[in-house]
Amino acid sequence: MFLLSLVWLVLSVTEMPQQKDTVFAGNAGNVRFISDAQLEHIEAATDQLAGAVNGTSREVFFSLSVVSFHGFNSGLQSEHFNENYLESDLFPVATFKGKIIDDIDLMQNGAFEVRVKGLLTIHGVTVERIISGKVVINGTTMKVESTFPVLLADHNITIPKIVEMKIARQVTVMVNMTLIRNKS
Amino acid sequence: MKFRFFIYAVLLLLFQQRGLAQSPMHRHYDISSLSENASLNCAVVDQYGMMWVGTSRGLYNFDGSYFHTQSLRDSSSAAITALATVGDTLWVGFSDGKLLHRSIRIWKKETTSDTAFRAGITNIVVSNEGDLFVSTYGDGLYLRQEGTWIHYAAPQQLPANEIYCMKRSDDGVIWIGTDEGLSECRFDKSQLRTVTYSTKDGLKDQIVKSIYIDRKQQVWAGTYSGGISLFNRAAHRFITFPISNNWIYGPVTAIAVQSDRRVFVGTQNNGVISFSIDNMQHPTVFNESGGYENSKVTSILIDEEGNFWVTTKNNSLDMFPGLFQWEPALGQEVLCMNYNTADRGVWYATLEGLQYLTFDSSGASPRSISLMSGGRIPVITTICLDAEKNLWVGTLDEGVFLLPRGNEPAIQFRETNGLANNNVLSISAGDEFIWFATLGGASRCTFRHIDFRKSKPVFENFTEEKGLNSSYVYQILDDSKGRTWFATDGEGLKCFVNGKFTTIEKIDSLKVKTVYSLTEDRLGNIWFSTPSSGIFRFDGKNYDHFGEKEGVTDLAITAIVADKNNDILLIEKDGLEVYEHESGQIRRYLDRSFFEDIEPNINGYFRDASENIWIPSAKGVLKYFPPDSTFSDQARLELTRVQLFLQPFDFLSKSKFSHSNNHLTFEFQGFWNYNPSQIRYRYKLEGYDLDWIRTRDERVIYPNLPAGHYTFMVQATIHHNFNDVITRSYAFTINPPFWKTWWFITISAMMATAIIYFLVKWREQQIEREAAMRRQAIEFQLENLKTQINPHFLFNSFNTLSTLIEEDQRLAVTYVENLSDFYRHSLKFKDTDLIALNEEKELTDNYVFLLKQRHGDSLRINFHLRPEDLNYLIPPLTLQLLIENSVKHNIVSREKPLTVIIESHGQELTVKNNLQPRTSPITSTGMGMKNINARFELLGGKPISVAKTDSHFIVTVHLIKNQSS
Repeated sequence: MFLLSLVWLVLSVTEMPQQKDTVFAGNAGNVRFISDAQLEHIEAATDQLAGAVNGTSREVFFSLSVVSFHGFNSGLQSEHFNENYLESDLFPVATFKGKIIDDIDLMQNGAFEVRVKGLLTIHGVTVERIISGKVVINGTTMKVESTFPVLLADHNITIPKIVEMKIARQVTVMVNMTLIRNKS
Repeated sequence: MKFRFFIYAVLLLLFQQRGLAQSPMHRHYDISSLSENASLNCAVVDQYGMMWVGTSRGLYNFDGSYFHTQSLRDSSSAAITALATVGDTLWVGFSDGKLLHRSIRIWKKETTSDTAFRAGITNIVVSNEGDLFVSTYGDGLYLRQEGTWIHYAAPQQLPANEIYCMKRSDDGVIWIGTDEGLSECRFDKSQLRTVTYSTKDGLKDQIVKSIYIDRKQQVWAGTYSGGISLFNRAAHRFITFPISNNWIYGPVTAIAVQSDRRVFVGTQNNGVISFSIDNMQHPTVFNESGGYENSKVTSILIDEEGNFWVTTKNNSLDMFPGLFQWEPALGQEVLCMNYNTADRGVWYATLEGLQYLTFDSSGASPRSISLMSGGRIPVITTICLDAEKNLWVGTLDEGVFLLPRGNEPAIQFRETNGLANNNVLSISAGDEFIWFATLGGASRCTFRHIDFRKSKPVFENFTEEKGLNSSYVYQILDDSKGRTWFATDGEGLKCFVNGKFTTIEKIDSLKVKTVYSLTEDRLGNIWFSTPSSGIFRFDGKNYDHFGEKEGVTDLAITAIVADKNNDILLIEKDGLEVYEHESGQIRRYLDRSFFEDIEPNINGYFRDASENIWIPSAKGVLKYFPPDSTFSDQARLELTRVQLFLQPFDFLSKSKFSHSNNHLTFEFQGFWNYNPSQIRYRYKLEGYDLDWIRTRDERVIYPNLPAGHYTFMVQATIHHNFNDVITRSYAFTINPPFWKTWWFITISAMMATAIIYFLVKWREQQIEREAAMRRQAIEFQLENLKTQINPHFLFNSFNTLSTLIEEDQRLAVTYVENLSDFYRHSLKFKDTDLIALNEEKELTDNYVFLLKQRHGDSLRINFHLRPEDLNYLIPPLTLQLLIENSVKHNIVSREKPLTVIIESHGQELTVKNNLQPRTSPITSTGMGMKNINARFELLGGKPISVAKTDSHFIVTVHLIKNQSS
């Protein structure tokens, strides 16, 4: 159910692709984040996500379900993550919507380093970011890889003093997705 | 002598005990006392030197020490993202697209622009012609020309609507940075032509986040991931520096270039990076690991002194001095150093031995050079590179080590190899000789065209036999005129010319036994320093002394060196002083926060090819960048505010005050950003103060100024004197009160004159009248007397009397009594001007009685005087005269009786008789009536009126009011 809504969201936001536009879309892949604090190393991942890249207009949209992150060190940690920090019932979705800056032909096969400038929304707070990543196009599939830091303060995620040593102020987010080209 | 050496050695060894944390040389100013969590986004310096800082929490100005909140009337919660200043106007741009401008000094003058932009403002530029350019992040570019706004947007006129930065070069070109590259925007009237330069033109990364236009109008671009590039405008290509090929410092958010000398680069995540322009490979990084905490740089500004100001996202503004920089890569406790122009490596010596430092893309990498076998480390005192690229290293106790052409292994030379002494204090390379200053005299050797890998140096020693009596030599200098100068301990300064020594031990009355350091400026002057008497200049003929009196603060000078401006740098234990050749002033850099106990080694400094001076010290290597001629070397000054009764007002347009508005407060602010605490002021209120008054206050109150013309003048200095300083002044007038104005005084004087004139005139008239009256009175008396002793009157009276005596003796007695009464009264009122009417009546009664006895019933005299009128005044004998007049001119007989009626109606008194003139008229002088008339006039009354009808003769007199009643 959630996945359906994500895909619907992706398609609706990638602004009415023209008939002749080439769109890569899909929901296969995962997103991980790592918080490497002085006292604790936390890693969590989710595969409930969706992404789309418009090969013609170079617009990009990614979305994931925050509550679906799993792999925390403890159940309590997961609970804190959802209830205290990310408030996932209020802000269930994290999105990134942007446009590839670099002048790259996405109709060609090949591996490209791209930078996408866009709006990253986490915890309901939108920040403009330039996020770089690697795109590998092979026929009808597009592999997307990106690793970028997220400063918690940027998204109004406050960490109580008492756990400052256990949660990094900046977490690293890693995206790994495979998108399929549409038939048009 | 041995003792001195001991101290020297101890000084050197002291370095070992110190372990101070390395901190980049900067001043940190925090805004958090005024506003928490403020992001300082932008800063500008106005024409007076005041800095304005736009933050996410409002506008502030900064006077070099403190922030001051500047309230904007149009208060907005949006962040201030752009500032620009031109003249007295400050432009403020906000993140919500609002734009306003206000006066720098008069806060009331604020105008919000009629146009609101649809995206946040990133930069504001005002051209000389007054055109206003506004760049936005999302809404393109706006130009206001002659009052109208023109909008330029992508894709027609601009590569993108998201403009990160905008700058203007002096030729009128606007440069913008976007995700598409660097764009050159040329405006032909309102037409915009844009050319965008990007990766195809050599730019390392097309995202241009920052731009700087340097003094030569070169355009620098800072990119997101490709470091910095310089745009060659002639070739339309970017020059990229090797360091940008592998840029590890992240997005460049700000660039500032200090007049062809230094580049400061602000980054998003890595603090500030500094380069020397002549060596763009060697960055000096000030980031969190380098002790500079503020990593998110938002802008960099260069002030008039050449200082760099860095605004950051976390509350702070940081000043990096324009003339100094620590070189953290060399570490602390550096004894001496030298610089290899070939590969831009640096040799430096610490107590750990000789090091060689090179830079590559991953940073600085030091390498140890071993001089002695077996891990022994000598104490290195000096490193010298000669013109043949041989490196000479002097040591204490271990003689000299030579690296031929800079190459290892090092070759050691000691006393046994012919060197004068094993303790070498300095080595200097002239054109012909290498000189060695040692604790046992001096040595020299030739080096030209000698390959020291094959042949050994031949030392020629200078000791007592050669005329160098002092064995302690600190420094040796070959000057431009072929002389060699020796700084010695014991013999002062020695000059060696044509194989002969001359000694300068005494200059004027100062004994100069010891000279530590020598230098020659480009004008050929020889400068030398002493341990406690300051410095001296020898211009070929005369010696000039610069001591405490001349402004040298610290006389313990360890080294002096001339820079490219012919300024003399005095290197001291706690800082530096600079003798400015141009002004003759001495600038002090002795602030404890930067320089305390730096303990530079004697003559350990090094002057590089760009004439920057490196000063190895206990706290690391300090680099001195001689100031550019455009740098301000004196405090700037602004008269910030004038207050009237402690209320600020628009003093730019008001300069006249009424006499009661005489309580004035002047506030001024000097700007010497490098060290504001050095500023001193003096002020003078011309027209009030007799002399200048020195102060450190920034405010003067004149509480009760008398009327007059005044000029308030203030000056600021950073030196001990006020030579060549600017003066700010404010001329004003306090008007005198109206009773002190010239017109009022003139009119008053005129009126007074007039009043006095009229008073005098009136008095004169009075006197005249009085005189006339007296005359009249005398005349009247005379007339009266004449009447009274008129023989006719007497004859008649006596006739009557004789008749009465016969007929009625008692009546005769009464008659005589009345006659005598009449005369007595006449005498009594002789000198009186006025008498009451009732007195007059009494007087007249006597007379009437006399007349009645003579005329009997033929004469009827009736008084109708109202009692209330009896108090009015009348000149005496008036009635008697008028009655007499009537009797004299008319027939008085039994057939035709004469009736005289005397009536009063208030002030009017009439004497009326029936007219029956005598047939033979009596010759009359007419004196009687005239006399009465004159007296009435003189007494201020109305003249008498005489009316003559067919039947009656009527005289009307106007009685005079009794003032006393």
